[in-house]
Amino acid sequence: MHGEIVRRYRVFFAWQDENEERWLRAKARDEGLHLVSYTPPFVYRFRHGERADYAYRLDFQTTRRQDRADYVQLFADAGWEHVGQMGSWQYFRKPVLAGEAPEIFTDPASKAQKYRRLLALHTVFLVPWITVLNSRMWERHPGPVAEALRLLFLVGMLFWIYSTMRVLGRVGALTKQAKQGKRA
Amino acid sequence: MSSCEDGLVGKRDDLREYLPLTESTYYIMLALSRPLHGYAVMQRVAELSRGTVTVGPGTLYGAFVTLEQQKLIEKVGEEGRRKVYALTALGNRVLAAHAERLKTMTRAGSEARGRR
Repeated sequence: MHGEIVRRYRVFFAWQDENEERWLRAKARDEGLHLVSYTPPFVYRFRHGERADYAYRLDFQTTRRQDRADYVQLFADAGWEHVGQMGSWQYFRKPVLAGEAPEIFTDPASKAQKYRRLLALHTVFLVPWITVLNSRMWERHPGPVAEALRLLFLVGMLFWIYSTMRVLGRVGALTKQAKQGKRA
Repeated sequence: MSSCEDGLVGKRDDLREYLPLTESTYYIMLALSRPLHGYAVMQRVAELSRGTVTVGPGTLYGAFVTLEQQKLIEKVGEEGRRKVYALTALGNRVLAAHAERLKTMTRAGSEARGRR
């Protein structure tokens, strides 16, 4: 049904943004689903329309409100429509014309910078998380519920470590490419 | 090891932290020899590099932020929603220093391998 809002559920972690970009393109090209918004956790809302080939690209930017207009305008001038933002993730799309490969990042150094911005925000969680885990309140309120909750925090911490390593891996690979003087 | 040619004697040390420039950064700074807004820089880079270097908006925006933090460029005005940037005096010196390196490399190339 054209014009209808369709929901899809899909899990993409921070280091899987390129997979997410490919998935969004496939939705537009194969099913005529065009992204309207993304709301956590993992819910994508699409408008059902004509099938069209759009390249989707994600940027991670914590621009202040006064800089936002300039940022969006730069992309718009280059043909990229700002679909919306989720946290600091900025979603852009551009129609793909024959023989073109639209990119918002054209060198590996700037791609690495994007992941570094993500890591900067990511590390903000570290101190409060460790504080909670090490807190003495667990001893003061023993019991199965506290145990389960503490375990959940521990698992969260492990996941945080894992995702940091994955993103660091991407930064490393891209920085190596940049040092070799490669163009994107 | 002084060189009177490039006029950067004594100043070369403080510029070294900015060098070498990446290919994209060099062209972006070159474009900002004149005040320009974002998209105009994109077009100028393509023009100056004869189409061999294209800068995407994500790359360009990131470069503006970094170069502004490093005080190599500054905002000199606005055109509607678009910020207009230009090189600072420091930016001009860094660009000149990088261009000198490139000249030395090309000269050495001709010397070692002869002109084609």
